[in-house]
Parts: sequence; C-alpha cells; structure tokens
Amino acid sequence: MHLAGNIMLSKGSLVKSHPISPVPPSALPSSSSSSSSQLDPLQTITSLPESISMSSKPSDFIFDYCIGTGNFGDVYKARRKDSNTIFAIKVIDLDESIDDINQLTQEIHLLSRLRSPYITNYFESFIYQWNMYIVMEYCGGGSCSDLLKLYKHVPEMIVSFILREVLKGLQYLHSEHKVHRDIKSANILLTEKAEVKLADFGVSGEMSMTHIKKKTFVGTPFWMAPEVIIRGDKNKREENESKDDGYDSKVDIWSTGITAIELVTGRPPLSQYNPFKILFQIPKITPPTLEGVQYSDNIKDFVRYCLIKEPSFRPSASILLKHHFITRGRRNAASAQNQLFLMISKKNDYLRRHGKLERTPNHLIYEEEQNSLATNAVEWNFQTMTGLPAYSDLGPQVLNKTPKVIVRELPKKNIDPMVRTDHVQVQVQSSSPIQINGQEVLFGCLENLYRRAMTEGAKSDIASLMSDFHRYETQQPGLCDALVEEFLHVPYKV
Amino acid sequence: MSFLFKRNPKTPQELVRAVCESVVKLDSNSDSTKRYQDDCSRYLKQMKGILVGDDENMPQPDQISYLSQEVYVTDCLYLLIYHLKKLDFDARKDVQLIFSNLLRRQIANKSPTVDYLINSKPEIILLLLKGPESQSTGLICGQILRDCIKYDSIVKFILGNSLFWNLFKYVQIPIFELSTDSFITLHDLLTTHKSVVIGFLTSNYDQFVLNVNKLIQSANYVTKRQSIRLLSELVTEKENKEFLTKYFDDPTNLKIIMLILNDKSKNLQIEGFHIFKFFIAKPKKSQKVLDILTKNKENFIAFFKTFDIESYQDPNAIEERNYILQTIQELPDIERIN
Repeated sequence: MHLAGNIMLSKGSLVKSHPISPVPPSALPSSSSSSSSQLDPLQTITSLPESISMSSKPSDFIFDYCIGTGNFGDVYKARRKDSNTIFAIKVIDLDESIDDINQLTQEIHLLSRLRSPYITNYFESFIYQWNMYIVMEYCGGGSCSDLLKLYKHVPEMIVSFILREVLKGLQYLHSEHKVHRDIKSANILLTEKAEVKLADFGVSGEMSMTHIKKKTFVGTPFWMAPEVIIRGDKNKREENESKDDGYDSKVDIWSTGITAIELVTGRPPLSQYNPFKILFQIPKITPPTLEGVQYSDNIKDFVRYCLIKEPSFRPSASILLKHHFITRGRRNAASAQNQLFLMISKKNDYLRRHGKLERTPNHLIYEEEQNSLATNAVEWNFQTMTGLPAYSDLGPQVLNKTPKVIVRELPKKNIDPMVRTDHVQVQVQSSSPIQINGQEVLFGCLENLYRRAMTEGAKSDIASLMSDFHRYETQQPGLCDALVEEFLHVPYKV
Repeated sequence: MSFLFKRNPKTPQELVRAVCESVVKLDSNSDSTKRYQDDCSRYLKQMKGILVGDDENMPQPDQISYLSQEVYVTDCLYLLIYHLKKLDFDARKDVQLIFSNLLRRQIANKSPTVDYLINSKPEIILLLLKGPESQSTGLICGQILRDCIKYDSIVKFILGNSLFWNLFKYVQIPIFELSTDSFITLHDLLTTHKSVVIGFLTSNYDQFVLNVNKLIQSANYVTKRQSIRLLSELVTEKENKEFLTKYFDDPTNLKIIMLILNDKSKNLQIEGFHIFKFFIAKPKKSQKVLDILTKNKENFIAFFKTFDIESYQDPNAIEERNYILQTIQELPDIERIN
C-alpha cells in the first residue's frame, strides 16, 4: 500500500464510539438476582432503539485518486464530504472471489477491535453493489518502500527509530492475539509528521495468505519466516491460532529482521533469486545475516536475534524493544524523526513534481454501468396453467417483469379426481394435486387391451401400438402423461 | 508473599462483589461515573488475572473455583452484560474474555457456567441475543454469544426462543459490522449442532424459509450471498430430510433460485446453481415444480448455453451442469393442463 498526502486525523477522532454513552435514566436493576422490570428481554424489537447511525455510502466521499493497487482491490485517497476528513479507502470487489464471505467479515470485526497509534486504524466498512469499502486511517507519507525507491537505503539511525515504532505496533497486535503476517517495508506506513504505522494486517494479509495455497503467489516470500513456509496449510494455522501457543506471533519478528536488512541495504536478502524457486530453500538454509563494515555491530546483532530459526528461541517484540540497537537509538529519536520528516517531504515533493502520486487502479469502481446486465439473463416464465400469476409471494423485483405468454384458459370445473380416475385404477389423494403416472396408466390399459384381444392379429397390432407409444414417449418425454390428461378432460370439453 | 500485593488484595469473592457494586453505580448519572468506570476496569483486569494468570502467576484452580461460585451467586455476568456499554473499550474486551473463560470451565464433564446460563439465568443469553441493537457493544455480545453457541443445550434454548427470529432483522441492519456479525451468529446457530437443528427446521419450516427467502431477495449483495450460502449448507445436509423435501417441492423457492440464476453477480449465479441443481436432481418432483421446469425448458437450455461455469475451474460443477442440462432436455415439450 502506498500512500501520500497530508494526515488530517487527530487522535481523538480515532475513537469511533465513546466509552460512555448517555445513560438511560430508568434502567437500573435493583438487586443482583432479580431481573429488572424495565428490562424485558422477551420483548421483540420493532425498531432499533439505540441510536444506530446509518452506514456510509460511496457518495459520501470524494475519491481523489488511487494511491495503491493490490490483488484484491485498490486503495484510494478519499475525502469525506461533510467533514472534509481524509481517509484511505480500500475497495474490494467481492464478486471476484468465491471464498466464504463470513471469513472476510470476521476479519473486519477483528480489525474494528484494534486501536493503537502504531497501526493504521480502522473506521468503518460498507457495501455498495458488490464492492466492499474499508475506510482506514490515511497516511500521507507513503510507505518505507517508497523511501527506498527514491533514496535506495535508509540511514541506520532512522531505521532504529522506524523499527522501534514497528515493534511497538507488534507488541500491541500480539497483546491482542493478532499476528500481522506480512511485515515488510511496503506495509510500514508514514504520516507526513513522520509517525510510523503498521498497515495491511488482517483482511488483505489474511486473504493473501489463503490465496497462496489456492492459486498463485501473491506476495514475495522473501520476508516469510521458515515455519510459515513449512506449515503452510491453513487448517494447521487456524489450529495454532486457537491454541495461541505464542509462537505464531514470532513470524512477525522474523519478518522484522528481514525488513531491517531491507531498509539499510535497499532490498531483502535472497531477492536476487526467483521468489518461487527460493521459497522452499528458506527453511533449509542458514538464516541470512547482515554483512558489511558500513553497518554497526548493534544492527547486525539485532538482525541475528530476529532471524533465529527456531521460533521458540526467537525473542518477542517486548524483548527486542530492549535491544541495544533500539535503546541506543532512543536517545536520538527526536533527531531521527526530524530527519525522517525531511526525507518524507522531499520524497513527496519529488513525486508531486513528477505526477507520480496517482496510480492506475486495477479495478473500476463507482461506475453504474460496470458489469451491466449479465448477458445470459433469461426471462423466466412463472405463469401457472390455472391462469393465476404466482407473483404475489415474490418481491417487487419480480412484479415489474411482464409475464410472457398467457396460456390457454381451461374450463374450470370442480373435478373430483377420485371419480374421474377410478376406472383407470389410479389412486389419487384428493387433497394433493393430481399426479398421474401417464405411462403406467396408458401401458396398463394397453396391456388390458392385449389380454382382451381375441385374435392374434389384434394382439400383434396392440403390441406394435405399445412399442410405438414407447418410442414416442422416449422422443417426447411426458407424452403419455399429457395424453392421459387429455382423456380425463374429454367429458368436460364437449 | 503478601507484601507484593500492596494495594488492598481482594479475595476472589470480594473482587466479584466489588465489580457488581461498581457496575451498578455506573447507572447514576453523576460526576463519579468515570471513577466507577475505572474501578470496574481495574476489578475486571484482576478477575481476568485470576482466571488466566499473568506474566508471573499461573491461574490457581481453587481461586478460579471461588470466583466462579461468586459469579453465579451474584449474577455478575448478567450485570456486566446489562451494563456493557457503560464500560470502557478495553473493559468490554475483558468481560468477553472472562465470560468465555468461565464458559469453558469444566468439572467432571459438566460445564457449570452453561448449566447456570440455562437453568438459573437464561436472561443473560437473551440479553446477548439482543446485542446487535447496540452499536457500541454489538460485536462483543456477538463474540460471547458465539462462544455460547458451542454448547448444544444453549443452541437448543435459543432456537426455542422467539427472540431467535430477531436475528433475521439484525442481519439487515445498515451497519456493516453489526449485520455481518449477526449473520455469523445466525449461521453458527444453524450449522454447529446439526442434530438440534433438524428438529428446529422440521417444525419451523414455513417461518424459516419465509425469512431466508426474504434475505436472498435483499438488495444488499453481502446479505444475498451469505444467505444463499447458508441455505446451500442446510440443503446439502442429508439429515434434514423432511426440510429438504418440503423445500424442493415448493415452487416459490424454485422461482427465487431461478431469479438468482439471473443475477448480475457471477458469484450469486454460481451459488444459485448449487441450489438449483437439487431441484432438478430430486427424483420425485412435486407437480408444481415440474410445471415451472417444463414451462421454462427452452429458457433453461438457452441459459445454460451461456452460463459461465467453466471459469470457476471446478470439474464437479461442470459435470453437474451437464447432468442438469441433460435432465432438462428430457423434460416434456407438451404443456400440462390442470
């Protein structure tokens, strides 16, 4: 995700619902055991009592331009019309994936429960047509990978500052039992004030993970911890999540180590190889190290700790926050942040001058005519034979469809099926619609005829009639049914 | 060791009572509300500590036992859920954690909290069921409720209560999180404990199908897709035999599914197909269903000519499509008279 522009959000506005809502004066259960009279849980609702605000619509926003593209949708810089607040809105085409939507929505619910200054906060989601709009905090400084594109690498002092913020973000996520799973410089976002925030956890992260096994590789595997590659299958992962054995979060630590190398050298280790070929090498080879005299011992040691192969020996985010590389940098934090601030504004100036802030979205949104009517729309015929349209029990969407052909009217007399069908020995219950097995009846009759036939000639003619009926029935399924039906109606037609 | 606990160490019983007392005081609209709110948050944290332990202490079984006993006696959970929206953001999460933890507690194959909920204080479950009516706490209630749904006795209780039907309204709330969360609850209720659901579906066929069909015809894409998927899951469950027979004999259901086949969304079409195929494959079709199928024989043939099922790369679906098409071609070309 790449973002640019100006941060417009104060921390106060991050809180979506205030902890204290107005207290209804009445409701107060007097004692613990008796249920209060004001509260009647059995009462069914007619309307939703508590002030439930309506969800937003795309038209509540002005979509400035696309700031990032992804496999599951694009990210737009958008401005809310009523408040002029800027957001990053991710638009996901739900019709692209056959996956269970419940899984995706559950991810969003998890997102909505996270609030921290170290992550890009979630505000709301809404559906329009088949697109899902996820409204997130907007970071105007772009991502750390944007910095690398312009500056090739980031000074160690600033890396120490960035990684401290990243570790704080991870500390928060892990305390909420959430694993990011996709830490890399492209997912570390910056505000224009040079604040550092983790992005793209949850939804997109989870989705790209499940996507890896299903179709093709979406991301690049350079940042993946060895244990992720070894136990790639989803069931196992979910099992681990529910057990919460604490090791799962260690995958983020590995990725942080890779990101440290990426930030100071400009790219992750092994990136000279084809990601598809290197993937299964990662668990086999010794962990990458940071080499070169230009790098301090502190950062090399930090990377070594992050890239411990055995997840249970790999330190947690809290422990890494006490590492020398991080604590030493803390003294210079203010100056590091200041330098980062300058790097960001220089980069944004450059991008603005070259018109590179905008990206071309992969998907079109907000266009009514997209996916116009499916080409194979067929107009169904729901007209019943009795002439009674059966539309009444369907919604209004059916009502405006004009019925096709009006079938011929039949004389409606009350026929007692028992009486009319007695002589062909068909048992029909009068309460249920008449159901006659035409073939059974017809061939039964013909067999009777055959037995009644007194000459060989008659017998053979009847036999050939039977075989003819059989042939026509195969060609015209239902012929016998229809014929028997006609017989039954004869007396009433004349 | 007691010197470590500088600030008045409370026994589990005292703690539970303290929570109950301060949570009730949150009602009074006074300046001290904030103080009681902080008290609640602190006590809840300590309760959580007793139940799950912290960095230094492992949870102690006897302490947990004292705490749970006191929770049942004081109806603490009821008070906490009732006042949930007056607690602060993190305290609400702690309530969820405490609730879920107590739910999981087992003594000799029995779940005392589940028994307590069913036999002593079912009002708690009903409060949770009405959770989506509050925007600020709906998701927390949903989460707790789904933990409850893991126990079949609770599912049985909910399915037998008229409040269950409110879920069909909640899933249409115009707030994305609330509606989708309610749908997951609805889904879990109907799919987690199949043996309980069989009886429910059989005796509530009409009301249930009416409600689900309404959702399928919703204008909201997600509601449509979730409800068709839910229906798909229910109709592929062979144990629901009576429900299945009724469902596939009802021409109204067929019409609704046929409209889904015509939907603009490809995914909805596919989902619709996976229900439609059963109407065709059912050996003994009702006359009314057969009539609609026969009447639309040509339409179906035209439809399946362009129905894009190949792009889903599901060999089963293509095979099924071929079978369906063949069965349709064997339908009579002669109209039936009534």
